[in-house]
Amino acid sequence: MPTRLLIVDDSPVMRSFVKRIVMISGFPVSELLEADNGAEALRQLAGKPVDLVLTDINMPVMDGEELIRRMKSDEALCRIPIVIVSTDATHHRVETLLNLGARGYLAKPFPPERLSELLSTLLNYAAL
Amino acid sequence: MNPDTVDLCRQTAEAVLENMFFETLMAVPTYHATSPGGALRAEVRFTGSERGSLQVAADAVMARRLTANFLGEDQADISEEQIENTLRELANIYCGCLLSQARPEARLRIKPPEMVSRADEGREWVELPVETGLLAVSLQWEGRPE
Repeated sequence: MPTRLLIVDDSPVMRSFVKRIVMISGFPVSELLEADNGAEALRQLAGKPVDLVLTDINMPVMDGEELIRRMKSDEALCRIPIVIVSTDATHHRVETLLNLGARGYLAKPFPPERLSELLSTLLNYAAL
Repeated sequence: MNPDTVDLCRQTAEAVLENMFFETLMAVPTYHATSPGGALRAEVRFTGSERGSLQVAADAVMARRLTANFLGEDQADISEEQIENTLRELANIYCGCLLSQARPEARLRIKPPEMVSRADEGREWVELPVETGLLAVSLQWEGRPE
């Protein structure tokens, strides 16, 4: 089934990098939405449901940690899988975000196939 | 700069360049006490249980190639804005990767990367040779000896 993904990152080139990996991985993606911070992501999620959110952590306006908190406290959004894609891989940060409900944590740098594998696993799970 | 730091810079460069910029280190990094001239430079500052900054520098040709690799586009189609955004992202990724290895238990917050133009003579640099030139990195701790 075609899926809809939301990529949240304040770096336009990082969003492009992730989009490129998703496209060349051959996932049946019907739409790739983009947001440059957590607040913009919530605005988009209010209008269009998605199957998975990939989000950075350190962003202006609203960071990824707050985005996860808001999504997990919203009945309409709390079941959407969230994957963190971040440079911050210190132990306490990873633990905090996974405890908040993120389903995966991808520390940059990562090989493209790592993201493909993670998406494949989570999208299959989400479809069950 | 001690040998462990130079080696950490090499390991980090290998991970960052090979996985996300599709470049390979060509030789052993070298330490330099002076900053690279004529290069585009991006800086990331970090705060928390420790403070400091990391800069990456690349000449224009190198920066364009890295950007084209990162975005999967032809070098001729790359804009100056994309080059600066990519160099900032490279600094961001490099800094996060290096800190997670150097200080895995630290509580740090990485600030948004910025392009910098000022001369900063106090920094020590590690030059990382890749196929088309040199990428230089400089890690500076503030308020805590290495």
